[in-house]
Order: sequence, then C-alpha cells, then structure tokens
Amino acid sequence: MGVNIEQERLLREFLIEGQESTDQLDRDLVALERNPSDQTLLAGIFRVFHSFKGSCGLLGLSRLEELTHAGESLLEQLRAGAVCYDLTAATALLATADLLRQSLRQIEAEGSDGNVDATPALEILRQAASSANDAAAGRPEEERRVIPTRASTPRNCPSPSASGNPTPVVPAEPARLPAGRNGSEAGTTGSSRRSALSRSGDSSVRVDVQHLDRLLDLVGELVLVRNRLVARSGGHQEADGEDWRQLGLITTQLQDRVMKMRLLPIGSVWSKLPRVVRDLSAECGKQVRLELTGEQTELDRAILEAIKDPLQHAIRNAIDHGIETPEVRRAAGKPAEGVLGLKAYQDGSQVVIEICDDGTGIDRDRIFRQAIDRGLIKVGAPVADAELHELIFEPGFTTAEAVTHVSGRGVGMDVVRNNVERLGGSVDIRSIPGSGTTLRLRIPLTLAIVPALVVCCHGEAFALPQSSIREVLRVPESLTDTLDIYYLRERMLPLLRLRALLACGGGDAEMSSEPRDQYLIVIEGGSTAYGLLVDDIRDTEEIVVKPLCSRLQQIPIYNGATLLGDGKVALILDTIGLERHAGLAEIRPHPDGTRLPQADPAAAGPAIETQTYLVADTEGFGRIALPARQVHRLERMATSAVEWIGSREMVRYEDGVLPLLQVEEIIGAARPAAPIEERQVVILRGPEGGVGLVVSRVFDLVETAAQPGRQREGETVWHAVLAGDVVARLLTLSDLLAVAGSAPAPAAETGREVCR
Amino acid sequence: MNERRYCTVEAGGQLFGLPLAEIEEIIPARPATPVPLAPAPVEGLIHLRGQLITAIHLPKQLGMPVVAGDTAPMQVITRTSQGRTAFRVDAVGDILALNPQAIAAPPATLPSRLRALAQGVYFLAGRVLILLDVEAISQTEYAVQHST
Repeated sequence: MGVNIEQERLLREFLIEGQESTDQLDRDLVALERNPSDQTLLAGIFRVFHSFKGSCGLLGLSRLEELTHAGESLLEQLRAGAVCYDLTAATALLATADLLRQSLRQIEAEGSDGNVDATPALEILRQAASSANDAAAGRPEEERRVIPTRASTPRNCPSPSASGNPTPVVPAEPARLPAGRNGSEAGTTGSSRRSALSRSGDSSVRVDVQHLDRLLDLVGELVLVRNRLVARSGGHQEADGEDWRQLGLITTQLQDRVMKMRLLPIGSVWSKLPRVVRDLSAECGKQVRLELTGEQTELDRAILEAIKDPLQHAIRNAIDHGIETPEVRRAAGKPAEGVLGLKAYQDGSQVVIEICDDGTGIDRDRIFRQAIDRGLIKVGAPVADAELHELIFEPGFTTAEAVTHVSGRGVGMDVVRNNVERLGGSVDIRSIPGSGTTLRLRIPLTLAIVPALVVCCHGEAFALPQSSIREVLRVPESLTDTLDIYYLRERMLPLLRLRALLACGGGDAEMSSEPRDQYLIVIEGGSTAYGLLVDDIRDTEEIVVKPLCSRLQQIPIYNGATLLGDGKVALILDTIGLERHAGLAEIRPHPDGTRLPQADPAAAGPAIETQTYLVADTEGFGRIALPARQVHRLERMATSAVEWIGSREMVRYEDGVLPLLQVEEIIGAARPAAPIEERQVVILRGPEGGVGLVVSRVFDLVETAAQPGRQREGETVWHAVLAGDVVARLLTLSDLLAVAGSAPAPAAETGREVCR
Repeated sequence: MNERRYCTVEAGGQLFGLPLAEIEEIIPARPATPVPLAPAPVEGLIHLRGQLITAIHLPKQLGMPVVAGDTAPMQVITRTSQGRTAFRVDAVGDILALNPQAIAAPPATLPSRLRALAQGVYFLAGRVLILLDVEAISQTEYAVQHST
C-alpha cells in the first residue's frame, strides 16, 4: 500500500518535472543550432537526458528509458566531437523531445508507457549516431570516452544506474536497470533526490494552483468585509483609531502579497517560443531571428494563460505574412534574416506586449479592396490609416492570397482582440509598408481586485476601473446639453452619456430633482478616448471583480459585477464596450450583412487622406467649417470681457489679446442681436496668431476627403464640405486673421504683423 | 423504483415542477439590482452571502402572464452547468416524488416556447404539472437588446 502511494507521488513529480525538462530541451536544442559547438549547452542537454533516463528507470518506464538512453548516446558523440550538430541530429533530438512530451501525456492518462511507440525516434537517433560510429571505429577506446567539461557538475542526484562518476558507457547497448519496484530503493533514492534538489539551492515550493486561487478568493472576501465594516462605521473609525488602521494595513498587505503570488514572469510563456519560431520559419521557408526583451515582466497567471493563444497567433501571422522570404528580402535591400521582436514592459497599471516584425508591413490597398468587397466600407467614403488597420480585426478578414495551413484563414486577429479585450485590455496595430508591423497588446496587471470609481446613473451605482480613467471633471449642465464633443486642452473628445447608453429611467421615472450629467469622466486607454457623462460620482473603491453568468456576459458594456462597500451590487462597465455600443467605432459591417449594391471593387482607387473639420451654425446663413487642427478651445464669454479697440472687438484671453469676429460679418450677413453670452466662441490658434470666432452653435466634427478647391472671391475661399448633406463654407485661421487685420486694428497692440 | 423528485411552483397561474436535484435553496424573493440592456426576463443580480446570482423572472421567461399573487414571491436558487440562477416564482408548493412511467411527453398543444423548455407533463389532481428542464432554460440564448 505504502509503495503504491510513494510510486504515485514520484510519478506525479516525474510528470511535472518532465514537462519542464522537455521545455528546457526545446530551448536548448534551438539555441544549439545557432551555436553547434557550445559545450555548456551540450552538457546541459546531456544532463537532461541523463536524469530523464534515471527517473524512467526508477519508475519502470522501460520504453522511455530506452529512448532517453539513445538520446543520451547521441549527446555523448556530439560532446566528443564525433558527430557535428547538423540538421539530421537536430531533427532527431527535437523529435525525441516531442515524443517525450507526448509520452508524458500518455503516461498521465494511462499510468505507464506501454503504448509509447519509440521505434521511429530510436531509428533516427541511431542513424544520427551511427554516422559517427563508422568514423570512430578506427580510434582507440580511451578517445571514445567523453571528457567531462569544467562546467558540468551534475546538479541532480546520480541515477541508480550510474556508478558515481559521469563517465558514460560506450553506446550500442542500453543499460539494464533494476525495475525499481522495490519500495525501499524507490523511497531512499526519491528522498535523496529531493534533498539533492534542495541542496542545489531551490528555495521555492510547489503549490497547487487551486490552493492559490482559493487563498485569493478568501482575501477578496476579506477586503469586501473590511470595506463593509468601514462603510458602516462611517466616521467612527477615528475613535477606535489604531485597530482600524492596523486592520486596513494588514488587509492591504495581505492582498498585495497574494496578488504577487499569482504573478509569473512572461518569460515562462515565452520560453516555448524559440522552438515555435524555428519550426514555423522552417515551414514557411523564411529565416527568422527571435529577439525577446523584458522576459522578467510579470503578469497574473490567469492572464498569462489567456494570452498564450493570441500571442501564438500574432507570431504566426508575422512569420507567415509579415516577414518575406530571404530572396524577396535581399531584393529589397534587407538582410535575408527577418527579425521578430517581442517586447514586454510595464506601463502604469498595465503590461504592454509588443510584437514587431521587420517584414513587408500591411498592404493598405489590399485591405481597402477586401473591405470594399465585404461591404465594410463604402466606395468613396474617406478612410484613415488607423481605420484600415482596425479592419484587420474583423472576423474572417484576411488579405492572404493563399490560405496556408499555418494561417490565413482569417479567424485569428478578431480572436486575438476579443481575448485581450475580455481581459480588460486593448490591441492596436501600426504598420509601415515595406518596413514592418507592430502589434501592441495592453493588458491590465491583475484581474481580481482593481481600484474603481463608483459612478451613479439614475440612482444606480456602476463601477469604472481606474486604469481607464484619465481625469474627472465637473461640468455645468448648460454646456453639455447640446454638445457631442468636448474640448479638453488641445483635444476633442467625443461625448457619451451614460444615461442614454443604458437607456436608464425610460420615461416614467424621470425625477427632475436628481442631479444629471454633472460629471465628465475622461476615458482613455489604448486607442480609446472619449468623455463619459454621468449623473454623479462617489468614492473610489477597491472592488473584487466577479464574473457575470454566461448569458449576461454577452452584453458588451459590462465586464463583471461587484459588491460595494455598502453591500449594494454594482455592474462594472467595460469602457471599450461602451464605446462600441455607442457606435463610436468607425467601421461597421452593413446591418444586414450583405454586400452593399453600389460597392464596385473595380472602382476602388487607392486609399485617400482625410481632414477633420469643426462645423458651426450661423444664424440662418448656413454652416461654416473650420480646420479642426486649428481649433484651440470652445468658450463661452461675457459681454464684460469684450473690449472695443478702434472699430474692432478684442477679448483678453489666456496670455494675450485676441481679435473677436462675428461669423455673420465674415459671410456678409447682419450681425444677430443675441448677446455674446448666448453664443459660443471658437478660439482658433496657430503659429500665425489667434482669433475668436463667435458662432450660434457648434454642430459637429466632420471628416471628409474632399480636396479644398480654391476660389477667390474677395478675400474668402469657397470650399464644399459635406456636413450632414449640407454644404459648409471653409474658413481657415489665415482667412480670419486677414479679416481681422483688414480693419484698422493697431498691430502694435497685438505685437504682430498682420498680412493682407 | 427510480422516482424523480420535483419541487412544484406556481408561475403565471400555471403549475411547474423543477427537478429537486438541481435546486440549491429556496428563499423569499430579494430585490434585484437591474442590469440595463439585459433581456426582459432577467430581473438583475441578487446578492446572497457574498455571491452574485442572476435573477430570472420565471413567468416572463416562460411567456406566462405576470400575475400579482397573494403570497409573497419566492426565489428558487438552482445550479446548472452555466452556474447559479435564481428563479422568481409566485409561490412554492410541495415536493413530489413522481413515477417516471407516469410522466408524459409535452403535448403539441403547449406553446412552442414552453415545449422547448419542458421535460414532460404530469397530471396532478385535475391540474397539469409541467416539468421544466432547468438546464435548457439556463442555456437559452438571448439576442442582446441594443438600445438606440
């Protein structure tokens, strides 16, 4: 009875360590290909086979023992220099590693290696070794022995078969080992093995992942209870002071440490990559060098698990479609060997993983054509670079001319993005045709407990993860009523109203006494940036993320739910999901999924550049368009701020004085009677100077590809910009400055030369 | 004799049976925190001893009329492969052990929505008891409602 339990435990340990050993073999064998005569590597690989053989003998796994012995033999010859590490040897050893890995799985399932068919592997190993045997046949016995290198002091305890020194036997007959069923022998060797390991400096402990997860759950619950206690005691904490503080301190530290226990360096996922890249490159006929940076960057283990597939896929894509064949590369003046770089680093509360290749980049035109084909964009519609790149993430999208069995089926990039976004991360892509492509994944550092801002919408509480919040502003209601964009310093943010998105409060429960749309939360992350209007904000809290049931997970705007300190349930908002739901994402497939009738692939020209304009209303005289990049801010002003200098209105603004123009004056209409308080002032600024343009209402931001057609009519330029089916007249900063300067305004006042 | 045990509940004026094996507990109905944009039968989330459970209004889920009952509504917490769900019912009745031979297949006269979710029917003192397949209910796919 005792023997069996001991055997089982040894077997389990063997399986776990065997897994690590085969991974190590992969890494070392690939590295060996680049440095075939590296003795340290050879010694290391030899040790792996040797100890593998020993363990197999111990556990009675005779077939594996035979296999590893054959591998060990080949290694001896390599170390002796009798065989050089050519493709035959490499293939043989890599195949052996693969078979070992596979066998481990079989053993796990079946308990023995009875079903392992090692014959083909044994054959290639013997072939690789025999090429040396023939050559070595003439040499004396001593020289056939392996000379132990300086560096190789075996870390592991010697296996039962070895006589105590590392000098191996002459190859050709596998050693006959005791079956190891003797309980005491197994026991003693097992324990001496373990003590050898601990002697060698392993100060880590193996813990079942389930234990860790349960511990994490408990800590999460502790945080919740602590929060609830704090909430309930209100301000009374002060009275009991010290104990509360201690409780808080200890809980936080406990939480930190448990979270850290779940962190693993990303290198643990990357370690398999050298082999993967080697195999893929060979398969695709490319030469690829893998460069890894930042392997020690740590991530939660659950996240690591989840990004394994997306990473694999991104790498596949890069090798199959990104990097060109050596001939093509040479013709393009690039080195024949392509570089695939993986970089990981921490950026605030996120981990960024970049996958970049120096290949051919994304072919804009091909994407454009395929997008038209699939009805994803309309012919003639302006498309910016960034939007085209976004298309790659549509399901089924591929510009691969031929679907290889490696990739090209078009099922990958959307899965990559979905997987990453489900973790609360984001993906973006940058590409320079001819030069290469970089895919960037942003992933939150930890999953389970995150700091969040609690916001209110129509009386209900929602949680927004802090990591996506850039800042929070209080905004006067009047300003936000009509605007769909908000100017923040030099940026324009689209505005989303949480009320509208959630369709909160239907019609019947409207309570005018409730605060509405008072706070603007600037959301930023990856390629997302917008302002979210909420009714009210409460505190920030550390929340435990609890997943929603599978039915509710389908709702894109949520990323789980949590229990707040006051015991109430709050849904956790997904900032990217909100954006999508609001329809901010530019590219959408046609609603009924069919091809747009007017889409004519033949008519698709090369992709076109676009410009963004701010469109504003004038009082009944149509619309004007201002180049968005020249717009500095949108302001409301009081009459008291306006001063008359000569026949010009001026206004004090920031560090200087700006001329103020009424838009109606420019287009030759009568100036409206409304006081300036009821209108809006668009501040334009540029190197040439600045001006304030008073308009009735800012309408929208419009992107268009129309090229400015210059028509001189006096001092204004006519240009047709489609703004919601209406033609808008373009006014640029220089136009406005010209108008401002045409009146006898003292140039000295503003310190500038005004050109006509 | 392998009897199957069911807990009887009233929903929308109709008697239903829920397999006892899948029921974890029965509690007085708790107010649920609404989940905007969730399909209509989803009442929201309830909080039970530190766990968040999805609350489903059973009559709505089954397409039954929503009746205001005299008794306080109850929630039946079930566990399926999809996790835990709390079904709000109008009232909870007895637990019955039924002879599988006496369970009939759901008749074609049942509305299709109900028939898809029913395991069978049983005739009980003049009333029809519809035995529900909780696993099937938990796997009902919804088209997520999109507003505006």
